Amino acid sequence: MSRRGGQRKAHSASLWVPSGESRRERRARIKAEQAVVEELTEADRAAAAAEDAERKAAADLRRQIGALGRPGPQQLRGLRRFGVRPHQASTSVLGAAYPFLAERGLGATGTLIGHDTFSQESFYFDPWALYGTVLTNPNALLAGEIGSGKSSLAKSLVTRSLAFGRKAYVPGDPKGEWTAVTETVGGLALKVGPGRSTRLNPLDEGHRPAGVGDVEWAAEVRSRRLELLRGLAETIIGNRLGPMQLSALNTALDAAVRSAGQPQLGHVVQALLTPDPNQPVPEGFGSIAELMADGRPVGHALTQMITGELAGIFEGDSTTRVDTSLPMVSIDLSALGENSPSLPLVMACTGAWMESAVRDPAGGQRWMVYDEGWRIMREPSLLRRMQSQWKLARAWGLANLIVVHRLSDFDAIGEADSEARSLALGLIADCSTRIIYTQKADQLTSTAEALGLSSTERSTLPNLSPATGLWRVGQRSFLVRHDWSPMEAALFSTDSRMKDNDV
Amino acid sequence: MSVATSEATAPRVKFARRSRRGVMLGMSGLQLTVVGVAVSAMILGLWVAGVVGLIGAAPVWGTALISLIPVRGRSIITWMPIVGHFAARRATGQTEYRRGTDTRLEPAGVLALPGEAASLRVHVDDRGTAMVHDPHAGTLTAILRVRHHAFMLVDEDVQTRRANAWSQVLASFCTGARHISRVQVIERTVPESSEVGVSYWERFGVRDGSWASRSYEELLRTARPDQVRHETLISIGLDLRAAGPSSKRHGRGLTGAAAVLQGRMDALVRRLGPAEVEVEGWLGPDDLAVLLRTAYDPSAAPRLSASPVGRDLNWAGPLAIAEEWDRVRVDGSHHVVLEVTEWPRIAVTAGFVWPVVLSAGLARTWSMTFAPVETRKAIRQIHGERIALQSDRRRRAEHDMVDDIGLRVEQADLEAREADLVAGHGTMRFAGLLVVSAATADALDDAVARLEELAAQASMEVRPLYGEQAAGLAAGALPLGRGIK
Repeated sequence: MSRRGGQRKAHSASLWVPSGESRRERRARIKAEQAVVEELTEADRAAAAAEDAERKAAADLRRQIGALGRPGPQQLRGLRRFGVRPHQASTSVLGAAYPFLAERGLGATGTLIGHDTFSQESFYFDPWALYGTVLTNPNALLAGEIGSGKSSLAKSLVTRSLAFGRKAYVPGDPKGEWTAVTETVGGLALKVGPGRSTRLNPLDEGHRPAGVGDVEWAAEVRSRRLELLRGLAETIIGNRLGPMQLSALNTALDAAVRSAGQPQLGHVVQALLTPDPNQPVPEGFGSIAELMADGRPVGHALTQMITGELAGIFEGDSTTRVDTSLPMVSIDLSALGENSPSLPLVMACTGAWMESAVRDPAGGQRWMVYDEGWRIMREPSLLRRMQSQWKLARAWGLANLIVVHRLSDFDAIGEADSEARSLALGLIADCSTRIIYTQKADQLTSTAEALGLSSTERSTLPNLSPATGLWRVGQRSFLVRHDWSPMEAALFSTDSRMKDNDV
Repeated sequence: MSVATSEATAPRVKFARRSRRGVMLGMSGLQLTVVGVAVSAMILGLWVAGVVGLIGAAPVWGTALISLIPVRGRSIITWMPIVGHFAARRATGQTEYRRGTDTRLEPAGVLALPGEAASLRVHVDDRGTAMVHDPHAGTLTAILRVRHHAFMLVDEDVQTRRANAWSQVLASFCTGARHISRVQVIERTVPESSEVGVSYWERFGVRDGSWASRSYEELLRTARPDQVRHETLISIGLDLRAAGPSSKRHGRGLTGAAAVLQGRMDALVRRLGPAEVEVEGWLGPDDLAVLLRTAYDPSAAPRLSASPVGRDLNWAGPLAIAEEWDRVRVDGSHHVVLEVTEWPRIAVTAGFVWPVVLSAGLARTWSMTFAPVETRKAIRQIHGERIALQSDRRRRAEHDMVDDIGLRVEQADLEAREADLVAGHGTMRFAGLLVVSAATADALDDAVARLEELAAQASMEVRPLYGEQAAGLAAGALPLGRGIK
């Protein structure tokens, strides 16, 4: 196109003309050339017309509505243009006036917890909804001193999830503070302890999911039972079991399964202490006498679970089962007394019993609440067992909530770099959501680093107001104030048994 | 809530004062004229009739001298134009606005806004972005909605890094072909109903009358009524005349200008990444309509977010406005517009505006409007000011007057600014406006008092824009880059 006097004009020419062209062909070619020119000129004319129309419209608009406002009464029209006198500064200084401060929040998916103390926006949380986007796993860790409000938060989290059709299980409740909650929401609170009639067999098979073959199921059940027995024995002995003791344990368990279809702790102990002399000598042992010698320490250790102060709790078949149709089931251990040294063992057994009952991938989304988790964490063998359960829990829609008092509880577990410490840190790593209530300043040690807290977050921890917690959800941080309803306030405050109200 | 900040490590900045320097002897032109009038009246009176004449001319030079007395930070003589303007508008009934209902005569695409913003019209480009065209000022503005994460809980070096990245974003507007003449950032809180939580409950909740479901419903009911939602908007305004030559390449008229603006929009989105600001999207016509309505009347926000109606741009403006000396009333809300007259003159760290931005439970809009200044011009200006300052100081030294510390500080500020410019930063003219909204006049007074305290906590001084509340509202609540001289 050429430009002449500001206007564009189109020309066209054929690049290739055949030599023996007939007149008709020539006419057709010239017509095609002219059609191209016309099309371009048309488009140009239309665009020019549109621009002219727009310029005219803008000019009309400027005439109709002046720079100061519309003509006429009551139009907020002034006599001079408005402007504030500006300041002037370099952009390096202006960057400090950074206005992007308010956290946008996770969105309104989930149960209402309370509100963000910085932005005042409502805060919603749901580990299953956030799993996959913000969270790498649905587990949560809740740490808080006595009186900081963490118990109320744990109960709120659980009961509000119930309103959305989830279920909750509390496998070990040493203080008995979940019993009232469980009964109020229509669940079952099992009371276990000396003199009580409830009996649980921790070696129960549990729920068998659909589609698992016999051989696989037997192997899975066996390995689960071995894990529990080993954990209990190691904790009672205070040392890791040697390889021969482990083999003796395996043999005894197999013998117990063979003799009684549903083995109990008593059967295993009997097979350990007095192995059947007619059974074939297992691999690696010289004689049955050798087997008995190796199995003796383990047998005596496991005897503690069925005699003495724990007599009657884990003996015999279970007198009840976990009713998975109920919204909530909890096991009340308060009859044992809070300072009983065998509480960790009891919690491990009740934990294993309940976990075996809820191993159903089709069971829906459920909370498993490990209250006073530090009791188990102090025993590395029990912690090992719990952790291996956690790794499988994700597939079954289970979200584990572990409640501890102080972050320094983790530091008290073994020496730095010991296996026990790394197990505990592994547990923290398995919790994508970390909720921390007030901590004393001297508790903020290496655990704060393990939790990935920034220095600013660490400095907020000693000064948190009551019922306000630092929430780390995945990589995001929030300071959330927990709000509760009058019904919740009435329930959560009446079931406290401690003198200084653990709110 | 308190957040401890470490003293030593974070870099601190401070702002310079608005220059108080005048034409001669430290007085502005207006003040000099008034003094000249007073002196000439005195001399005339003396010359004509001696002392009697002096006393006779007392009304003239007396009034003139009284007018130099400062009231609320400004001398009476500088108040006169504002007071006069307001009185004139009051007399002619122009402190009120009523939306005309006759839409037949409206030119196409005009936003129905009051006052100076009446001539604004909207142009929708091929991406669906609504661009606001000001035919008188010759600007085309696009608005971006952004989202961001917590700032107060991250480490200080992360905070400093983000603030530096934001400085870079601003500096990018000062370099190159400066087609963007206005940048505005608005951070506002709008009241929000608890609809969001309730609708989630209705979709997924198991409402079977059990204790858990009854308790949750009670929780939703008793949740705090003063919930707010934060919204952050960034707008850039293209100067149509400066961008004329390059826009002709892309197309004729506004289409070409829109194409140039699109290029700038993409560049801004790219640069916002390092500042850890997530981009939600450029506002289309529907979003713009909701924005305009909620900017003028925040009490309508819960209703608008709940239903899909109310997205018509023709009816997005306010229906009635009543402006007073120190507040303005629009439809269902009362507003006060405050101007930041002093930025922090003590050294502050990044994010120092947090007391105002994270204010609890108030409906307010925090707006910062920037206009880039060409670097060469800025350096020339600084040189001019430095020369004037130096001559001032020399004059004071010659007359054996005590060196004014204020002048020394101002000189240091100028040198720091020039060093920044040489180092590659840009210079911007900027203004901060704070619009406080409430549903009733009493709540408004409380809110204004609280925000003035919070601004003091952030080391800033804010004052109401007396006599210019309605125009200030358009400048502070709308992200259209208006209101800077």
